[in-house]
Amino acid sequence: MFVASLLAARTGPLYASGEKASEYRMKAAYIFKILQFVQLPAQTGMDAAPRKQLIVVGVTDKEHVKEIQDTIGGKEVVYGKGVNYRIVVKHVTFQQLQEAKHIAELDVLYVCQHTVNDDTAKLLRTAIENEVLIFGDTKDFLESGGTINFVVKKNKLKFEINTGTAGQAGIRIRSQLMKLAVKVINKKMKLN
Amino acid sequence: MKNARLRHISAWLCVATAIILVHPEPRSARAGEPNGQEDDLTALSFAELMDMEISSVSKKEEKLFTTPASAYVLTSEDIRRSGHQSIPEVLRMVPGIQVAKLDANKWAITARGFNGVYAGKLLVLIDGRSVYTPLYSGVYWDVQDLMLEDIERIEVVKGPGGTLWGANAVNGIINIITKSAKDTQGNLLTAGAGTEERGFTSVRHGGKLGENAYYRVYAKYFNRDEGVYANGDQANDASDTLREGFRIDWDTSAQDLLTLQGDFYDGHSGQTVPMTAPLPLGNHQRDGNTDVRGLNLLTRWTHTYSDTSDMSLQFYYDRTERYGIQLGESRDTFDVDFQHRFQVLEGHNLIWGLGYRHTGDNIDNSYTVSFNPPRSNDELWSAFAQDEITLVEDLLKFTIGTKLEENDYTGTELQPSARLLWTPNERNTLWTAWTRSVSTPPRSFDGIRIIFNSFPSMSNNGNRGLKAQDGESYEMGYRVKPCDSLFLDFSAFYTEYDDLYSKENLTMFSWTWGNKLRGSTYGGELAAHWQVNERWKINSGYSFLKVDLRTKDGSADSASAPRIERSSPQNTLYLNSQLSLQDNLEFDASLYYVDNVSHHNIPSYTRLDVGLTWQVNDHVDLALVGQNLLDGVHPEFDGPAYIASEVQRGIFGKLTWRF
Repeated sequence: MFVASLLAARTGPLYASGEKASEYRMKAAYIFKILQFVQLPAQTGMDAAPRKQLIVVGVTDKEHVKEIQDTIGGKEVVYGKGVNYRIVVKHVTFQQLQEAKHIAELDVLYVCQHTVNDDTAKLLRTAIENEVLIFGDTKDFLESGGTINFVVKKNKLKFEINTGTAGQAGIRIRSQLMKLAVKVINKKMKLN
Repeated sequence: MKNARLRHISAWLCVATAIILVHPEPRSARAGEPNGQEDDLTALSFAELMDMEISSVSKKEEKLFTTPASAYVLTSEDIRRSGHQSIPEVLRMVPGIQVAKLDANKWAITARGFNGVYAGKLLVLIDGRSVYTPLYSGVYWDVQDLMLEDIERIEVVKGPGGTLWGANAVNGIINIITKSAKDTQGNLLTAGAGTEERGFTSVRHGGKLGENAYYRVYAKYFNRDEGVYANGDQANDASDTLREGFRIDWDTSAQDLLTLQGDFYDGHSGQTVPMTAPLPLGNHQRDGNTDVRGLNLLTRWTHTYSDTSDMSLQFYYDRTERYGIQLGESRDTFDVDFQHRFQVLEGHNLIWGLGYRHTGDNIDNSYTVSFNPPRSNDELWSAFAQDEITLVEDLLKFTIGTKLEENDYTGTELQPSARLLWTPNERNTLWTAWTRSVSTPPRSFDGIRIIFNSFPSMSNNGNRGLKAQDGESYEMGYRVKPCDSLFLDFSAFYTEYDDLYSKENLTMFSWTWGNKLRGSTYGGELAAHWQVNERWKINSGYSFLKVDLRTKDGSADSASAPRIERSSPQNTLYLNSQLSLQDNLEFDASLYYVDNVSHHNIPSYTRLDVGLTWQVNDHVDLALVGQNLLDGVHPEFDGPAYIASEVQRGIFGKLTWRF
């Protein structure tokens, strides 16, 4: 790809059409805030001890990884018992996510609009089975299997929640968060 | 006294304004960001986040913002809303690019002066494939075409870029980048007809080849009307071309992308040319078509090691055929290009590469224009390296590099550059650059013979001893975002040229090219983008250019310097409005002012284009476009190689159907 760009030492597209400068920083901030209102399976092991002290966020669009990393990478989410979870942001491709080991290491998956394709619905089912909290920003994303969907209303960022897929993934969402959502649905997916 | 004081006050006001705009603000109090917390949005409450507006500054502006060069980007949306139906016409929207139509199918396009039908200091690429012809060191604009809906963006750099792009990127680079096959899935049909755009249609189909492979195929046809001569007679310069092509993008693994693409075209470009003949003796003009045909095939493999490291290997083949009255040309070009980017040390982003190009031609000579030898094979070897050094994180970057080229005409050429970028805060950027670039002689200056008068026989003849033209540029630029909705981009340049081509006497009736011209150009470009509100965007641009050339000792060429000085407009102005009247109704207008081109006796002109687009539903758009509405007919350029015609007012309708 970098051959095709004139500038920035031919290292990347000068422009990715249709994106907003701070939009993904805001989405990253939302992910961080939302993580404080949910309980992921990784933090609720059978012995009530944390299985790990990292929250791994996979982002499917390489173009936005840096913005998200800069905004929330390394930040810590504090839960009860004084356990802090450090956020790690990484780029993941759909092809990688077809391998169990890649999807199993994620706690959060953000399926960016530009990367959505015909295989997305199948991938989302696999992510639910792997207890991953799934974010997206596409029309009908919740109906396709996503758990939290970003929407823009009057140039402001809002979110919608599907409690059905959250429950299937073993994710608990606090009621305060649901009150902030512009839409809440309860639709479960038929899993593999 | 009063004037002196006013000058003094205004100078201080300018300095004060610059300091205010450039002065780094404390990180906690950046303008336009709620609570000054752009750097830590996570510190905001949910309520604050939900009340915060998404910035209207686009990714395009962000990248442009930190580019240490005079750059401009046309997006697919800009192209769609312009109403233009060809690539050269689209380039009118770039401030600082001079686009002039010579006849109904030929354009003279350049940046920063030296315009001509084969302007030789502008490098043009389509998806990394050079479309610059070594025969004349120019571009055959009549055959550079694509489905405009498939163009993702056009990146334009005004000024030198030889360190990365090599010889002939002296005054600018235009890179046309098409969309990935993945982004053109489904079917698209466009069709239209009008007075100047007599008829055009294109169809594209995109689909999947497998799990991670996407393809598209397309076909496009156009038929354009002829222009008129100054006396009102119809010119013989109508044109038509059928073009087909494809592109495949295959993610062979998570780190590897393989692209294969190609195009084929076949058409006719009408023209009237001056001819000379021994029998019957005399000079005359002849009408005729140039048959244009060509194909290209490009493949590229890109491997990504990490966010800071990748490599690419590209190969392309290009065949060009043009057979006209004066000359016939067939050309085969093979090109291979390798690039590797990696972080060599902390704060050092290194990119290096190697390239090889072979081009061979076969010329059909006429009495008027002939080449000796009629066949030629030329090679070009190149290597480059460039290091982007972060001197102060998020504040100061220094880029240094050079390209080394070995060509068959002038031997080894070195093209170094150094660029400094200062980003004091997120709303201001200053950059400065020094670059040396060269323009190598075209094949025509080496072995051509043009007989432009039959009796007595008078001719221009090639010179095998020509040196490369040399340019040394000093540039600076300033970009500012006074608020989220406004983006301003200023640049200024001064370029010192040496060994420019002159015409020197061989005998009383014959001439050849020499390197006995030198001089300078200076000027500036301004671009502004204002998002007035959600429905209205205004783009504008202004450019100023001054060319000052002189002959060197020993030259008797008194014509070339004034010809070049007066072949480009000194001032150009562009104003574009993109207005969404309703959710499904767009009204767009573009106004262009172009100063006079005195060498060709072209008066200044103002051009107005307007377009109304109705999005009938999610699948169908209908558009009505009017072009050159202020003027029934006007000339834009002239030149000795072709008989020029004038540009007429035009109107056309267009249907776009996505299914």
